[in-house]
Amino acid sequence: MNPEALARPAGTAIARAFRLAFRLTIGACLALSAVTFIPKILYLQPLLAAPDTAARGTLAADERVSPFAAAGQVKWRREIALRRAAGKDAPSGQALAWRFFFDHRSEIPPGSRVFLARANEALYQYGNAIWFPSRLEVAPHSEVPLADGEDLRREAAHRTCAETDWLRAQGYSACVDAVGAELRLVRVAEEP
Amino acid sequence: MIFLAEELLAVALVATIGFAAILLVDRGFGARRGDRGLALAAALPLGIVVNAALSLPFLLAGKPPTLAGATAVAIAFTLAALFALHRRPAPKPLEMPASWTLGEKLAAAGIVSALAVLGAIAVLEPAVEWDLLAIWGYKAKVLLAGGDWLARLRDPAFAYAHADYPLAWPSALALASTPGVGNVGGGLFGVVLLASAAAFGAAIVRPWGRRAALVAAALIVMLPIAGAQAVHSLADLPLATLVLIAGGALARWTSAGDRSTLALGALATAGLPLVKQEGIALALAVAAIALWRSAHGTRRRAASFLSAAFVVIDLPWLILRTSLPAGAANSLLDMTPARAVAGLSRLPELAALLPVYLGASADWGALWLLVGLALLVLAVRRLRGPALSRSTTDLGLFLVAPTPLYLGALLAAGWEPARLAEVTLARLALHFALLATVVAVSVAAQTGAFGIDPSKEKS
Repeated sequence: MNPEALARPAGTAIARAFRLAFRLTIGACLALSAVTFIPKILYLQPLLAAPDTAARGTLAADERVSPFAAAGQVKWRREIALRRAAGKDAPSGQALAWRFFFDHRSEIPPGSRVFLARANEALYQYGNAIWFPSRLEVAPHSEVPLADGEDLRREAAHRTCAETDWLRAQGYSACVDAVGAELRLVRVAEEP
Repeated sequence: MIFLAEELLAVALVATIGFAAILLVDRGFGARRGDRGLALAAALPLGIVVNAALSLPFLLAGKPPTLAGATAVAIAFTLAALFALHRRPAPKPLEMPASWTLGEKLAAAGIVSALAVLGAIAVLEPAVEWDLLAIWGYKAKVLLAGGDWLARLRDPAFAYAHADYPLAWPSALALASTPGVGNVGGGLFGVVLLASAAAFGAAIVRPWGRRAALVAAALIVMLPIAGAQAVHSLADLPLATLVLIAGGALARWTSAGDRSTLALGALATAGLPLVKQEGIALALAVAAIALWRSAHGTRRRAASFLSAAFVVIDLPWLILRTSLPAGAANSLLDMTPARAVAGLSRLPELAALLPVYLGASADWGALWLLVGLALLVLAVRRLRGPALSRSTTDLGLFLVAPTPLYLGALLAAGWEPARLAEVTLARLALHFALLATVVAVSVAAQTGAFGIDPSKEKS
């Protein structure tokens, strides 16, 4: 069928109604997309002003700053907005975790094993990705598939970073713990 | 800057491999005059597929993906394509396009500017997205490290990274990443993929005029969730782009019998299971529609193209996949019809969540309203003519056919509907969104929504 013939506007009332509906909806689509694009343009400014990769990554991981960080997560965006409205605008846990592992990546010898004293899904997965090929573990020599936070909590060895003898005996070179909202890297000292 | 240059080179090499592969397949299957515009637009998405299929035997032989290796493949493919095209009939002469109106020039400038903004953000942001780091980027690092990479994938400590997820996207990311404790690249891959999808979508609706093509490109580039996925290098965007290419190319085959678009569509269809596990369901549905809608006497040819692409591209991976443990909850093995039937009680809750997530303007603008309108018009015109073009009807079928399989998977999934929606609904919907945009613009154009196109008047 000839495309031009098909594209020729038909004259019936229904055809005119459909045509108008399409024009209005396409206009709404483009207008709404343009509105959501404005924060992305504005977001370039702090990104460009950030002094280094660590600072840019912290912005990018922060759901309150980056217009991309909570994409598709309607409930999470609503929670962030409610917290902000209530004046309880806590720092982003995701940004804190990313920054911690990124900042300490050069201190972890490649191929070493690090104990994670807090069995947290985000910390475990961020740490193992950013510190690869080193390993972050919640228990030594676990053979159970660790698919999510529940598995991690069930399998965790429940030891602290203060138990240096145990950590050393298990072959860990360092330990990660969370004190309040702050993450700490504790080196396991070599025996004299 | 070195990192950026490496990533640019990786994108260029994968696109070159894809473009040369399309020309070779085109020639190999005897197509006489392929559409170079479509081939260029599909170069990067199909390059990701071809790169993964070629990388697998090397990975199994202990050779990790490298830029040097990709350069050698790109050169070999380019030389082979040049040799194969030596005696090929001249391509179709390009039509002299009518001059662009000011509005069209402004729209094109807007599309390019939006891509430039997304590209700048992708370059400035390091990899931070959780799924990128935990799954796709982690696997890219595993592939890049070489050695016994299969043992690393099978390690139960990393079950969350889904050992059985396919390797096309990690193989591409590995080329854009630094070995060792380095960063994971990929943002530029995402943004160039988005540009490729916009160009392909525009090419598919171009017969309805330049305005329709520009609107399709603008809707794709400005789609908020697609931009976020592009910047964050997630695997749903390459999958969505391949769905668009498969549907768009095969609709041309079923409506016009163009053999080169059959080859393109078959490659894209075969690429779907290599990008995400949902790709298996998508490929089955797309192949079924392509066979059903192929013109009388051409079904065997369509079946042979689709089967050949499946055997070459997918079969080695699917065989290897049987030796890998299923990952976390909601793996493909969980998605049985019995579980879907048992999950029917979840349907009302899921149905209530759909408008909340698909109606979120921060993610979709008003895309699904537009798509709903287009499907309504498609159905009305089908029942009470004049019917829309065959290619548009087939585009609509390619869009709708996989949705029952997705609905079944949502019903069979183990998570609570609210959690399922928050984590997966936007991503799953994106798989359809680019093709849906093209369907919507195609239908809108045939109702005269873009008026009398000046480019149509003059050309």
